[in-house]
Amino acid sequence: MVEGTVTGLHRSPFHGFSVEFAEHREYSPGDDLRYVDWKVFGKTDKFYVKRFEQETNLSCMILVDASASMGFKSHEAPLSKWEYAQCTAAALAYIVLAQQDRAGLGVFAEQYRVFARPETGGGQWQQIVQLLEKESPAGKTEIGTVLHEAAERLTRRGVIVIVGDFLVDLNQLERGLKYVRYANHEAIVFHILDDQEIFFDLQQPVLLRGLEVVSKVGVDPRLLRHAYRRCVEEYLRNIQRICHGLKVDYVRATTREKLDHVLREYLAFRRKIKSI
Amino acid sequence: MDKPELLILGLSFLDPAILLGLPAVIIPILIHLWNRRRHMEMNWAAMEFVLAALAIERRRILLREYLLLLLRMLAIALLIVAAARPVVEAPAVAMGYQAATGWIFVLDDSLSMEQSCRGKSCFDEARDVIMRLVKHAGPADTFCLLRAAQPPTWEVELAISDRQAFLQIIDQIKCRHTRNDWLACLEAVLGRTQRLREEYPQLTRFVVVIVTDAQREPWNQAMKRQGAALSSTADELARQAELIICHVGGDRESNTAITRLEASPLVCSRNEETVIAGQVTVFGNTTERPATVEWLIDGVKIGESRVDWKSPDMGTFIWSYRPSRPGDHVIEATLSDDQLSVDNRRGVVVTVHDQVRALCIDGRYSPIPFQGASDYVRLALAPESAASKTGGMEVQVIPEARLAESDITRFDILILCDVAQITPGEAQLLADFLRLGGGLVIFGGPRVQMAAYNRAAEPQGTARPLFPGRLVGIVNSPDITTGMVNTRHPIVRILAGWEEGGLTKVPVRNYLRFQPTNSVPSEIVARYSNGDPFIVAWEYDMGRGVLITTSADTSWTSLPLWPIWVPLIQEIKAWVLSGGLSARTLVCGQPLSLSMALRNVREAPTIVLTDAEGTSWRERAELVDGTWQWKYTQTDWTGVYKIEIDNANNETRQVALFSVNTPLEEADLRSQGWEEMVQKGLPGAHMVSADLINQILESPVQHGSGSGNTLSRVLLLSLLALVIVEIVIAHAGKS
Repeated sequence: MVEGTVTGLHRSPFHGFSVEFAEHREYSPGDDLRYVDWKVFGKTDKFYVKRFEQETNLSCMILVDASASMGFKSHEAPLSKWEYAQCTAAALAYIVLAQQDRAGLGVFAEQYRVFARPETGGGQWQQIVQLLEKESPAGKTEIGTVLHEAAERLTRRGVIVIVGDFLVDLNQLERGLKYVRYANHEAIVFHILDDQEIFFDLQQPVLLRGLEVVSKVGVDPRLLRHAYRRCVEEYLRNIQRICHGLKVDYVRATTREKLDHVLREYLAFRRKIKSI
Repeated sequence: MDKPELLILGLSFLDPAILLGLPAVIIPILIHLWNRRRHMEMNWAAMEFVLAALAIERRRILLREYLLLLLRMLAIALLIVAAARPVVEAPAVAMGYQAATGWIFVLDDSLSMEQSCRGKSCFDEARDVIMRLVKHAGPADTFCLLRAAQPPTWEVELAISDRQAFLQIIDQIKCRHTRNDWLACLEAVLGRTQRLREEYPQLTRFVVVIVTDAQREPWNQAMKRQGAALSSTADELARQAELIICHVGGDRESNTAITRLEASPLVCSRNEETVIAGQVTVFGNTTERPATVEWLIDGVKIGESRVDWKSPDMGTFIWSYRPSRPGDHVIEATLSDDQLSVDNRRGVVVTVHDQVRALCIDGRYSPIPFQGASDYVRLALAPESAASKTGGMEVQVIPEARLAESDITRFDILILCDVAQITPGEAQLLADFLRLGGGLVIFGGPRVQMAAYNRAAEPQGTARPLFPGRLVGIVNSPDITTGMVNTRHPIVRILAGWEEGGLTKVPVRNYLRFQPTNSVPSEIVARYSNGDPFIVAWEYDMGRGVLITTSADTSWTSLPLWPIWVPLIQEIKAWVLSGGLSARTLVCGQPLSLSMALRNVREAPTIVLTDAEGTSWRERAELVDGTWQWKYTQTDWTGVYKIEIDNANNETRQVALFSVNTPLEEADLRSQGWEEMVQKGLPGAHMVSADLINQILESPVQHGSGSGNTLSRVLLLSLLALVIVEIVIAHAGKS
């Protein structure tokens, strides 16, 4: 699946921050003023920024949430969120490594269970996959702490991809992402949810047992559906707002969506953005 | 069908057993709890959203749950209540729980209600109807009870709401033997209704229920005598209350009663014959005629006599009796029992003296036989012997001058024969004698001084005059004879059918012309051929007087020589002696009264009364105008009432027996035409029968079929509405 995706790419959409000048593009508000080509300005009285070719030493750290909530799988879904996240992480690692760049893996819940630094090479992908296979979802999520630690441990600027369900305190998430961005890393959020978690389509009264929250609640989903969806919509809006505000790419997928479509769509979007 | 006893908020239930299913209303709660245990369990990652949604919707969900539970429980309750088929028992309560009705029951307890019908008396049936109505009345209703027989008596005058106490009172009431006075009854009810409106503002409705045997005759008489007053009272009553007349008893067509019983004389001496005559009347269509009546003396059967049926509905009987013991005796005639047995007995009191004492006051006293004025009278009073103290009659003759000094209270009769004048003192003596029940006979004559007699005819202060008229002259004519005789009067009743003989055409040469006045009512018993009064009779309190305007001897008339003389004197004697005794034979409702002239008694004598039921009371006499007097008014039952007197000397002696008989108006039990009669007098009254009321009260299916079916329908429609609301609420809010 991943190879098929990568095959269609002529150029990696993952751009690093190398010194090899690639091209100019017109300045748009928000661009880093360090990359403004002042010589061109002097000549043309117009602002252009430089674009650089990605160096082969792009560093991509893929962080996968392995908290208990990731183990949720509804009846209609083909995969649990964890399984979907595994596939997503493996696919992204493959894409990065196929471009001769470095990919690493972090599996976390309250803290890192696995933190493999980005490396290149043929064996790196197998190692990533093996590490993913060993883990299983358990425990709670401490997203703020985890992102903070990742930003500090990754000395080399790179891309940090966070794959999870983000059923967390959004303030923590925002603080974590801010720290990542402050450390000059690029961040991409892959938000994986189950359809049931979004739509709450259960048709019968049910006793719900929380996977991370210690709670049992008997509810009639038919009576709560409307309020539940409003809460979910607000939550999703908030995450998007946070990501947008921190210039973090946000990709949402449900476990019923085909991963290749999701990746293809995202990669095409990214290529388009980077080419502007 | 037995009437269901379950009564809740004015509702009763035809199938009350179904109400035992009411605990089923908790089934929805049990189902709810059971469903919660059966919830599917599943793991859920996004608990935060569930908890947040719950926080938002908790109140609405709880409200919905409770509402649905309540609706379901109510639906079950409605279904069960509807299935139990409720019936509205008290419309007043159904319209407003606090609405209350003031019931005024009028129970006809007159004699005719004693008649038997279908195994029990009409009176018992009437009580049953009232008790049933009370049991079915509303919880806030009040009750009064008036007994309708004369005099109308409030048994429960202050409205009470304690129905058990009211039912106990009704259960203890006995039927009286008096007659009805419907006007007095309706006036009493009207007055009470008006006071109830003021005293009990919580009463919103008044119902007067008159329970009666529908006897036609009392209503007939009330309409005849008091029609205008009856109608106006009834109009006002119809404005104040709803008027229901409930007819008890079946169709009664006949009754036999003894309607007359008389004895003559009522006062006699030992072994003197007294003749008792009576009448049996048949009311209605019946072929049964009693052949004999039985006689009882003081409760002991003595004999029988045959009833002579002169017409299909009236028979007469006669009997004679020679009492051997002095004292009061009750002579009763009885028939065999029929529909109304109380009026098959009638009694009369006869007083037997050792001797009847007569005092003749002779205005021409002479030792030579037949030279005085009183000889013919004396012989006529005691024809068995010329001696004055033999036989049952003691006759004493005194000259006029000794009247004032004589103890006339020892005598039963005073006879004045040609007495010249009556002094005021003597007039007072004679008035006292009459007032205490004595008999006075006055004959005219040549010595009579009219002015002196006329003074006695004038009122003296507050005292009534002694005589009922004035003597206005002496008539002297050779052509005058005795003439017309009023054969209805007891004195001359024996002359009925003997108009051409007897007392008519007796030559009278002289007589005193008498002019009646209105001061003392009198009756002209016989007249002369020219119309002037011949024999005048009057009643003076307990006593009686007779004036014969001609002489007692042959100085003015040859009457003493005629064969009619002795019978006439005997009849006059019997009549004047019966004055005090006529009050001993009464009709229910008439008072017993006694006047005693007790000498040297300063302390009030004690009267011991034993009534017809055998109950005794002690009361004291009162001193009125120099005589001790006593009266008793509660003669509600027939029978013999005995009075004994304890005077200051602590001697107890029997003074009087009274025989209280049934009123004649109650003997005719026929009710044909009574409805039209009542509706004339009581327009707006509702006529119902006791049978109809019993059917209504015992068969609420029929009575309550309208209200019961309507109520069940309402409940089921409510249930349907509840179910629709429940469905809507249950599905609302579910997305």
